[in-house]
Amino acid sequence: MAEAPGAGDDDVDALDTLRLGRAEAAADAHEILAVPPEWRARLERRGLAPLAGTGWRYYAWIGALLAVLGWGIFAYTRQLDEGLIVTGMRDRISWGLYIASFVFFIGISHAGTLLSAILRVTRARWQLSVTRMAEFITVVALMVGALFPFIDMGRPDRILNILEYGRWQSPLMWDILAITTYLTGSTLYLYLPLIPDFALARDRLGPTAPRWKRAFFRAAAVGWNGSAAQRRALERAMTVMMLVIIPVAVSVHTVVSWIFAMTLRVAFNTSIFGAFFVAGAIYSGIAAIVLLMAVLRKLLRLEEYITRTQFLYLGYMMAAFSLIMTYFNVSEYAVHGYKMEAGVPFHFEQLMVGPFAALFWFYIFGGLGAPAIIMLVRRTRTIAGVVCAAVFVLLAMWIERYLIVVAGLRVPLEPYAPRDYFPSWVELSILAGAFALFALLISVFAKLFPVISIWEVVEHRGPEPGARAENEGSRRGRPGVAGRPAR
Amino acid sequence: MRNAWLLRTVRHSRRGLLRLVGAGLAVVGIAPFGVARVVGSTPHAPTAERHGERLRRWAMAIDLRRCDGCQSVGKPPQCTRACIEGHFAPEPMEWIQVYEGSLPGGGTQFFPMPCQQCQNAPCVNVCPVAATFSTPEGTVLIDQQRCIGCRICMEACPYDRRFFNWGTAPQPPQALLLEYSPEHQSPAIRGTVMKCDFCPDMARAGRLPYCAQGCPNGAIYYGDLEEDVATNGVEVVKLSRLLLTGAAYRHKEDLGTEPRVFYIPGYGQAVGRNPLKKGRRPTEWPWQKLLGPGTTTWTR
Amino acid sequence: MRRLRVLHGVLRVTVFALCATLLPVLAATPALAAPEATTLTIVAPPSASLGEPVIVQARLVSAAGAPIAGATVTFTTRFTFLNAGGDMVIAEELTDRTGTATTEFAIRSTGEFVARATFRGTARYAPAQASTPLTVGASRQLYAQEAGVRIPGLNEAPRIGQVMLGAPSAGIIPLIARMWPGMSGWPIAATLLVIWSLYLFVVAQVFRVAGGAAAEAGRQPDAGRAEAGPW
Repeated sequence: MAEAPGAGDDDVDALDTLRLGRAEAAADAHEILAVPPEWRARLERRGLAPLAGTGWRYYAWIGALLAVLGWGIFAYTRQLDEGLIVTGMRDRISWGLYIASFVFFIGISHAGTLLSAILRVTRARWQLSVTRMAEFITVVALMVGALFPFIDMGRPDRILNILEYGRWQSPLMWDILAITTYLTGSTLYLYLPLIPDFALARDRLGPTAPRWKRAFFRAAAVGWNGSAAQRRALERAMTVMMLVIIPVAVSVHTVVSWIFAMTLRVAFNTSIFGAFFVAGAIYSGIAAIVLLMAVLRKLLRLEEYITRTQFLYLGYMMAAFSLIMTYFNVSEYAVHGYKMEAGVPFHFEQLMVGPFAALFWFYIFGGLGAPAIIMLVRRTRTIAGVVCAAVFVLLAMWIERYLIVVAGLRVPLEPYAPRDYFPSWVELSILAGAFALFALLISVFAKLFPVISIWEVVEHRGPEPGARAENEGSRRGRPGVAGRPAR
Repeated sequence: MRNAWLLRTVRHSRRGLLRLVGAGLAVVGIAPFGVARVVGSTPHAPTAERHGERLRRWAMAIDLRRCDGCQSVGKPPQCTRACIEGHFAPEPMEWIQVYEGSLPGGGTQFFPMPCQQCQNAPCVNVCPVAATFSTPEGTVLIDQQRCIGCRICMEACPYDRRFFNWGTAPQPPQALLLEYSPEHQSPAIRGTVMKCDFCPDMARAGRLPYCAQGCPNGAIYYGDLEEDVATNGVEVVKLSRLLLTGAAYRHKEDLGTEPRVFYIPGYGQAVGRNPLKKGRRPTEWPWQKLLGPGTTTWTR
Repeated sequence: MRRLRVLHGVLRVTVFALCATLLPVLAATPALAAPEATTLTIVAPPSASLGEPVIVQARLVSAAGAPIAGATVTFTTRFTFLNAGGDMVIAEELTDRTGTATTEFAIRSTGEFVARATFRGTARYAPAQASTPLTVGASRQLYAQEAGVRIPGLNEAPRIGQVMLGAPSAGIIPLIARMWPGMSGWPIAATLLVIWSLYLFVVAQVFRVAGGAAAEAGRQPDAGRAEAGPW
């Protein structure tokens, strides 16, 4: 194969030590040739099907989402018109649903980091069929999450003040810098593995597709033709990104936690927040991937590539993280509860037996307990079980962010009666609009980019053992083939 | 045609790359100078009320032996009333608020709390745009023309002394004629934060803040740590001596905010209050009632 | 009858004798006497520098010149602050055996003052007052502060804590703690610089991919490839 002239052989060699050695690369090449062509053709067909054509159901779905989004935008115009008085927030609980949702969405965005980066670094292969979806979630969740601080601002017309007068010392400034950096990195990391798939789309769909699609795929594929030099450049780029994106993601949710931990409130003034939030983010991210995986798998008939293995492994990871979250929660409540400093009895009382009791115990049992139990009990260790656990986790993690913000602020600072907070219709509408925007952007992405990373599945995985052409949903398949260990 | 411009870049790839990285470095290297600003001097006209060349260091000493929540007067706390009238503070803002706290030995004490004017102010530390800033005199002010309304300062303040303009607060005609300045927060601007500012405009005019003027028992002393003097309008005292002999303390000292408001412990005994007598009149906003029905208000 | 007259005479004599002995005693006790006049003299340096300690003494003696010990002497000066004026109490001291009350304080205001010592008087001693002029000069800022968030400039030495009347600064740890907020910009900027440079590197690789395609466009198609397709 031809080599690009002037290629820096030294840096190629150095970076190559990070990925496969040359012998393994040869073995992989064999594997590519060993992939049954009809399996591969089916994969390409299924993977590129959404890009090829659109049915009326898709338009109906988009229409419904646009309606909800439009309602959310209308609610926001009410807020712009009358001010934040239309929300339920007041002086004593001055952050509410908006900031809780901000933290939630930024948290979900850690899905991509975990699957694409952390697992890639450890050379796991089982998740390669779902990395694309994970990156979708990351980019879209960051975009939607980053809207919330602006929605929450009392003077959104003064956004540029942040650029003109910004202070390094402010936790909000750290948020802005970190989220911008993470969004850029995630977009790059979404785009890089898309290049070969765009090239596939260009080649397979090109002749029959409308002009604009052809032009789009050709431009996006930047002339990819699988040459060795290009593969080297891509590998280099992906290696750098997967190593960089991990500390960036950790720092993002750490600084998001620090908008609380850098204040003197009883419920916030704890050093555990950084690690706690990052763990919670990865936890909710896994649940988001599971949910999206289940939905797209059914809709696009990807059962052959996203099998019980992926669900089980992600379910095990969810269970592991639920134990980590339990550990953090025990740590927090035991340490504060043992001492019962001023303000802590009030906080515990309002969480555990007071106005927030229902939400709190659902979070503890449904969000932390249920996923672990579902994965431990053999009967529930199915695809449906894992999806159910994921739904619990997502609900519970949103509730947990809500509790941190609202219950944390409700603890009185001086001798006055604590105030109650209830989100108003404006806040709920904007939240619904944000979820609609999330789903809308994912749907649009699924139309423009293949939801499954075709070239990576072919290269590194081959056919899933035990997976058949039109595979099952929650049936267990052939006995004794729970999936061979990931390479 | 197909990727000619890319080809050109790639041909000079190393140089192009260096140029690209260099441009990036320049942008990110210059950013700290552009974005980081010296805060501590005010972004607007200096609020100094100087004494010769010496700057004042404003402080307040509140003698709780003399504060009985205006029970003896039979009216809502007069310090709050004076502040509301003087600043046209919209309902429900009480920039100086009289809390009634239980004493561990029994009974209650009345605790007037203006902004504590912290020297290590959490609100100043977290503001992303330096809309809240410390003046050289030690007063913490807010520039409501810069405030973006993110409210992180309200999370940070441990004393419940910051108030947000959730809606368009009503303003009397006199307020609308005033030119806004951080020293005199009228007219109120929707979507921004407000609080007690130690009345710098009154200090300029050589007068006491509204709350000190309004107190019928002379419990609020306003003073200068530089000249070590304070007054409650009736008597002039040496501030350090007042604090020393009164065993003064600061509220929530353990948080490390270094407030400039000192409290002399008591429960109103100097004006004959029985500590077991609880309750005070609720605060009113009389000027707002004069504006007629339909004025926007909210609760704290 | 005669016995009654003798009794009457004895009573008279007794009363007379009692009065004769008691009255001088009563006359001698201070309780019935008018308060004795006292003299208070005050000694203070005629001029002082701002912020420097100044010793003011007041001596209280009775009219007979005997020093009065254990008496409370109040040192005041007339002062105007904002729109209030009055006698500002500087100190209250007790006189010692020599009748001298001493107070030492650092003057915090410049200008001309009248330092006054006042003895309020007791039942035995009459009140007294004394005053002396005192001029204070050499104006300078005494109370330095580090309020707010100050980013040390290039030429500005960082100051920490409150410097009051020449007290030494607090030490290296508070210095670093106070400087940190101002210097937090540099580590953040450096970190961002590193990360965004890596992003630029990645983007450059994409350009390389594109460049590789363009370079290959001018070459023979590779005959050794088994599959037609992007990989």
